[in-house]
This record gives sequence, structure tokens and C-alpha cells, in this order.
Amino acid sequence: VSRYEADLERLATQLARMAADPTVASAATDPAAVDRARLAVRQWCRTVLDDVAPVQHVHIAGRPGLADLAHRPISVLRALLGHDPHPFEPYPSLPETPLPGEYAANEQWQNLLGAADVASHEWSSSDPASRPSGEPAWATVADVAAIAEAGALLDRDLAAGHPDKRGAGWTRDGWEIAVAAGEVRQLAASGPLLSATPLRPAPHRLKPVSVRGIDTLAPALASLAAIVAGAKHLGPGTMGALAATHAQTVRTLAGALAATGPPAQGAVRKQLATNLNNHADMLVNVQVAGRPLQSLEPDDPRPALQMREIRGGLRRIGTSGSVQIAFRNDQTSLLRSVGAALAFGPAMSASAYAHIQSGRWLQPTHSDRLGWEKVSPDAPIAEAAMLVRGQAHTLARQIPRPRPTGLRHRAPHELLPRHLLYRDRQRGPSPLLPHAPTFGDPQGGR
Amino acid sequence: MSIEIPTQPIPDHIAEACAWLSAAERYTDGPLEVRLPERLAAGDVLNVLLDVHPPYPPIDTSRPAVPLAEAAPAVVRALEKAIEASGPPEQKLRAARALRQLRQVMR
Repeated sequence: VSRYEADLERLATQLARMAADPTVASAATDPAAVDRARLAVRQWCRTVLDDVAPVQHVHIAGRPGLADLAHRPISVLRALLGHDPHPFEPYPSLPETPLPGEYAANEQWQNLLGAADVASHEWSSSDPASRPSGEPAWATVADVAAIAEAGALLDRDLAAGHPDKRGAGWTRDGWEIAVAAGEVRQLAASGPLLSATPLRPAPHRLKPVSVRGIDTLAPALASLAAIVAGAKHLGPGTMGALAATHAQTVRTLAGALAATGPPAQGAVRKQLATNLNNHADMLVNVQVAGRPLQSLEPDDPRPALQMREIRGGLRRIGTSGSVQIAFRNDQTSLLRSVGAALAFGPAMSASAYAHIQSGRWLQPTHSDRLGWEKVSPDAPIAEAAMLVRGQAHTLARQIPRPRPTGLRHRAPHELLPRHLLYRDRQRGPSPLLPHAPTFGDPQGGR
Repeated sequence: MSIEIPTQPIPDHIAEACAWLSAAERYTDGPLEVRLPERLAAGDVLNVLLDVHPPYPPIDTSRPAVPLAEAAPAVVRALEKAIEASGPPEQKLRAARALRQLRQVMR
């Protein structure tokens, strides 16, 4: 282990100690120590990134957006790291007695400053020829991203622990860096890229349905089911993670269903909410069953993007309480969302079946040496997915009908009395047209 | 015919944490309103730890299923050791992210 590697490990250990507990960094009261440490970590990140990945940098004018991040993650991360962190705003007035954990927190920031300074010094004084380049440089990029991400978590902790929440806007770039660094870490740690460019869907087809409010959740959930059903390839781990993440959405909807709606539907809704939570529990079983499995092909990225949009949209609306309040005023969207959420199970089950049938999912062999073989059709994941599908079909029939409220556009089937609608659909051939011969028609069977 | 997939060895402390988290994720007894959020949380933390390339070999799933509240102290101990033990920066910071997530859930 070189001296630089040892110093980098010390920096990572100190950052990990602080990032592992959100209460550690936030108790700091020494703005000088905090700011110097934050600056030192950021400077280390940009110096190393500039040295190992110079060709990856493309200048991004203005504020980078999500599209920039998707196309040029390293350039976006570098652009965000290019600014020094906004200074930490100390407490407006410190109490005379020390705050809980204050001394320990200030000491942790001091240790971080020391570790970052030493790592920067060792890197800068190393022989440029000894620095990683080409394929090995990706490991260093992954380290930079992981450290930038951890530094952003500390910024988030500082903001969360600050008494003046309105004044915590100075940590906004920390959120952006966390997202960009997470993307770069995934990219850098994913190993050598394939030599041939894989066929990718056209960029416009990658665009997920956005969740801008509670009324756009149902279309996004319907899109998720359609994308999962049509995904070219999803590894068993990804399928399991999608199922478990979807379980969180189902749980949110169950909570809203039980807490809102007309009192007359209270008992029905509570029962359905319990059944939906059971459905969520069974979705988790898919993830459990997929844990030991592997796949060699790259994932279709669209389901994960759509899922991220759904979870992000719900987070933007707020806590589960805020979501319930939003749904209370829009029961139609709630019931539509429940229906759309239940479409995921059959889509996931069909996709899992197709993957197993095609032999693209692998399970470990039962031998001394680890090897892999095709997943058998009766594997636990197939059974778990099938149970989810059956339950989704049953639950879909239990969704109460939305009660029309206020003035709004109504579909013809909502306006026509049921018997008229029925008769209209059952009417015979038009009298202006010659009668088609039908069995049992005494005039037409000639 | 057996197929080869490149894997990387799983460090002892991470393996220990994963085995306990798997036990919590597989726990299907107890009231639904308690076990469902705990199973989801255990799975999320496990996903953080297993987000590596090349992948780890299959984790130990032989430990009897227990509620997350019972497994959490052992997971915290294992991840604290993973942070302090010698290892690559990415591994330490991944353990820190997992530990942070677990602490936020258990708070």
C-alpha cells in the first residue's frame, strides 16, 4: 500500500465515521473548522478528478440539468464541484452551555480537515506518471465520487441540524452533488464498458412520465407497468429491487386509501388497504427470492428511471401525511393510482416468466465451486411473482368506484344511464342495411 | 453445464451484516404493520451493501429469520467494524451509507 493510498484510506475512514450517523456532523458550532474541512474535501475531489479524467470533461454552460447528467455525468459532477461550498452559517447566538455533542462534532470536522489536507498533499506531490490512467482510472473516479457523495451527506446533516431551516439554502449544491456523485459512482464502478456500443432505445423513449402532482401519479404508474412488461432485459436483482420499491408506493397508497374517502366506504377501504399492504409484503418476497440470482446482460434502464420519477414525485409532495391530504381532495386520482399500481404485479410476473423461459437468469449450482446454471421454471422467484400476479388481479376487482364530485369533464359512459348504454351496445343491425343472415332469424335465413 | 460469473470476495464484516439483514428481510411473522416497513428497510440497506461490481457471491441466507429490531444491533456492530477495518475507500463509504440508512430507520 503506497503512502497516498494509506492517506486516502484515512480520509475515507474519517468521512465514513461522520456520514454513518446523521447526528455527528450536525452538532458542530465551529464555522472555521467546518468550512475549511468542506473546502479541503472538495478541493481534493476536483484535483484528483482533473488529473485522472481530463478527457471526460466537457464544459457545461449554466446550471447543469438532469439531461446533462444522463449524457455527461463526470462533466456535471466536475462542474458542480467547481464552486467552493457556500460558507456554513453558524448559529445566530450560541447558548452559554455547550450543545450536546458540540465538542465531539467540532473535533470530527478538525480530523476531517487534517485527513483531507494530507491526502491532497500526497496526491499533489506524487509523480504524475504514477497516477492511474486508462481503465484503472475508473477505480479512482469511483473513489472521488464516493467521497464527494459522503461530503454532500455531511452538508445535508449540517442543514438538517441547523436551527434556522430557512437559512439552510447554502447547502443546496450539496443535494445536487450527491445526485451527480451517485450517478458517477455507479458508472465508474460498473466495470469495463462493452467494446461494442449496445443497442439503446432512442433517447425520447427513455423519458419517463413525470410526476408533477398527485394527478399525474396514475399515468406514471401505468407507464411503469408498461415499461416493465416490455423491458428488453432486467436482471433478477433489478426486478427484485423494482418490486420492493413499488411495495413502498403501494404502502403509501394503502395509507391514503384508509385515511380518506367517504365515511360510507370506510370499512371497505380499510379492508382494501390491509389487502394492499399484504400485496406490498408479497412484493418484498420477490426481492428475497431474487437475491441469490444473477444475470449477465445489462439492464434496460427505463424501469428504474420511471420508478425514480415516481418515488421522487411522491417525495416532492411530502410526507405520507401530505400525500394523504393531497389525495383527500382528489379521490379520482387516488383510485386510479391504486388501479395503475396493481398493474405492476402482472407486468412483473410476465417479465419474470419470459426471463426464466429464455434462460437469461442464473442460479448458483449446488457444488463445491461456485458456478451458475439457468433458473428452473419452478424457482422461488417464479412462484413469488405468480402469487403477486394472482393477488393483483383479485385486488383490482375490489377497488371502489370514485364518486363524481363537482363540475368536471365526464366520459360518455358516466353520463348515459346504464340501461341505455347497455341497450345501445346490444342493438341489432341498422334497419337501413339488409339483414345479415343469423341463426334463428326466421326472415334472414333464406 | 455450469456458467462462470466473475465475483469478488465479500469482506467478513460486510458478509456478517448482510446475513443479519437477510434474516430481517425474510421475516414474515408478526403484525403486518410492523413487519412490512422493517422488511422494506432491511432490503434497502442490503441493496446499498450489495451495490458492487463485480458482484459478491450469494450471501448467507441460512440464518433464522428475525425482526429487524433484533438484527439491527448486530448489523450496526458489523458495519462499524467495516468502516474501521482496512479496505478500499468505496467499501468504507458504502458501509457508512448503509449504516446511516439503518440508523435513520431505527430512530
